[in-house]
Amino acid sequence: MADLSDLKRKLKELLIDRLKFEDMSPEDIGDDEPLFQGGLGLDSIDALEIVVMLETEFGLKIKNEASAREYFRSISSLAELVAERTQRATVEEGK
Amino acid sequence: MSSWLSFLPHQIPFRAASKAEKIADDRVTGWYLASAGDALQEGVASAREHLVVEAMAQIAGMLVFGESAAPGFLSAIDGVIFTDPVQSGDRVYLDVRLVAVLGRVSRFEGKASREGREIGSARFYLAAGEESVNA
Repeated sequence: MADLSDLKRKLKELLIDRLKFEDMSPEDIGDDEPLFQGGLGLDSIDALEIVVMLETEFGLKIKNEASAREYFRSISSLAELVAERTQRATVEEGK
Repeated sequence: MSSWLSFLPHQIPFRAASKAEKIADDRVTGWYLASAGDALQEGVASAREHLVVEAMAQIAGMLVFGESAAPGFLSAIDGVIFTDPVQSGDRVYLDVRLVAVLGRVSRFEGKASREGREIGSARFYLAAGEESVNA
């Protein structure tokens, strides 16, 4: 598993690419900046794009809105989700 | 479940899809038939291609709204690409896949083909109204 800071950068790059944030770089997004209200200002369509991104890039499924609310708060919370789920999958594979 | 189309609030001339068939829980296919007498094409550039995407959305509703008359709507369209124009007389086959659902919003990917060759694709989103949440 990559270092958490590398993972955060990758998530920022993926968000910029998938949500078509032209003229924005990973440095423009704070790790703890809110992704939705008051922060980057993402909406429900963007949230679905993040769901698809997590499944495509990391094999993670987000099945309900409550989980999305919890994990989609910021880049930091997204990175923690990816790191935790990836680590769990690795441990289960090793059993 | 072809009767789904009869539940749609859009009826002729606003119903773009002519047939819909649920293939799996996350896939529906159907047809858009381009008529020379289609009133909605007049004076609008790429009107037929717009209607193909509308037809995709209309059949996609079957996957998330079921056979009810529950209110739902096409909330966004993205990444629409057509490599060939749709012309009068064309029978356009639609193949739509449900990609993701989150709360009341669902994301779909649709492909349009004519005589077995893909001529267009689109991503689009449907949103359920407050009273029809079943996802």
